[in-house]
Amino acid sequence: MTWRDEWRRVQAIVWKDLTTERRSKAGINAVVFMGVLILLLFGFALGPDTEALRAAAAGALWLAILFSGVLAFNRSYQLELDGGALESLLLYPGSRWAIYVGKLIANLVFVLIVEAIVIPVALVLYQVALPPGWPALIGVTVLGTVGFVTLGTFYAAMSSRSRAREVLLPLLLFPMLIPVLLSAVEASTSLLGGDPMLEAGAWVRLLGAFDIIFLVASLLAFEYVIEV
Amino acid sequence: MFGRHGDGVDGQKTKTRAKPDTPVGESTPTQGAYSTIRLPTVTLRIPDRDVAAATITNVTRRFGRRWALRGVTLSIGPGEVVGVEGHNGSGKSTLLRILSTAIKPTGGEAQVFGADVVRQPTTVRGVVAFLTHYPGLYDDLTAEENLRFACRMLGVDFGRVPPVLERVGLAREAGETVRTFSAGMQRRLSLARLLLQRPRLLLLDEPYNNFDPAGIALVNEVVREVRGAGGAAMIVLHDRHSAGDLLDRVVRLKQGVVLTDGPAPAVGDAQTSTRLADPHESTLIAGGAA
Repeated sequence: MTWRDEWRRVQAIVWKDLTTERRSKAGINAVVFMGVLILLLFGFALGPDTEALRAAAAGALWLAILFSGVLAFNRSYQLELDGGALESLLLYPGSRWAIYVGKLIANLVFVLIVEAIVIPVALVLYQVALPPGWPALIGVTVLGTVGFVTLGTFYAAMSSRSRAREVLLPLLLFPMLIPVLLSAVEASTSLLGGDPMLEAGAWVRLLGAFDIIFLVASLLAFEYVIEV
Repeated sequence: MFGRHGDGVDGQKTKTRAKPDTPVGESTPTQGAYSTIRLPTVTLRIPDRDVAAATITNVTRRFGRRWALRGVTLSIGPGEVVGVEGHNGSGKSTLLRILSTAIKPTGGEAQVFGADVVRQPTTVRGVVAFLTHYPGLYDDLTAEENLRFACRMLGVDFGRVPPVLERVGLAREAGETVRTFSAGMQRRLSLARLLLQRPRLLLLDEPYNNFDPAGIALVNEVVREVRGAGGAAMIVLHDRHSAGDLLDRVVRLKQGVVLTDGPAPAVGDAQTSTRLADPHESTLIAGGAA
């Protein structure tokens, strides 16, 4: 199998996952609804204090993305488990990493679409004005999402064969996400406040380093976690 | 037969008729009135009749505390169609899943056309097609889209899809989502996916389930084609009647060991009906418990 063959398989999996999602629509509706609901609940918990809401906006938004994203990862493998498609997928000739990369890209697109809906809702609910450095904020969001989706896709594969996968996935995933969550929230908070201390850059570099480490480790280990 | 063996990975031999580093078509003067004309290199790739389609040596497999296979040893020759029978839980499907590389054996070795299922799984997957219990299809994709996805994963041309759909009788339903299909139609589509592949070893797990008589005939036709091309097939079945005279050999498993392994009785024999009369049959003729 050449790189071109593997890339063709990656594209096939991305197309298949996104087409299935687009047709069923159940996944995106549930995930977006969950994200907005979490933002509302945090808003009620924090009370009507506008300053408190603004200060907590970045943390609440990332937690909303994390909790709702878990639904997306579980669903991504549920599609394979229905009708025994996962076994058929694993029996195609070629490397297992192509399956992981295909699932990763499809989940990344899916979560970015969810974020495109949830982030404007968060800005309105928490009364946050877009700072002048908003393109950097988008960069942080993308970097944080890459780290989150990399680990989410990996652990969803690991838990996919377990009967308790809905419970197992958050238990495995959330502790591993702490560095990504911390870096993303700190960088986002700094950028939303105009980054007066110029500390966002350090958090972004840390976030980028975590993304690379997690991506490489997941690629190397995927073959072993998906085996029966 | 045709010179040295290749690396045996896919069980094929190669023959080189000129030195590899010789320029093609070059003519060199020699002593006297003769010249040596170097002919282009000719490489012949022919199916190797000596390499077994599948070799299973003392294979065991454990699921938790339960042993599904306890030391199975079998060999399937090229062009051979082997039926595998046994009660529920006797290890039939586990055996096929090991040969397909879906699961790894706990112990022992298994090769498909010379390639080890554990050490060379990618090579094995390139020559094996496995029809499982489950359809293995995506409900929200159409029949055609499911096959086009399989084409992309297998690296074959989309042009194979329409004739394959025609052959399994789903050409008219090509644009319909699989969610609307009956169990029999889903089974036909699963078979269609196998036809895209042109496999050398067919592994069929209860292939006649959910098929009407035309579907059963189609399954048998596909098996004959693979056999005719030098391939082999292993078919798990509970009732030999549907296979007709297709089987060359029948292996009976019981509690993870080979109970009997011998030629298939002729169609019409009293033994043709393979409903296992005595579920407590105790004599183990071959194989041993691990």
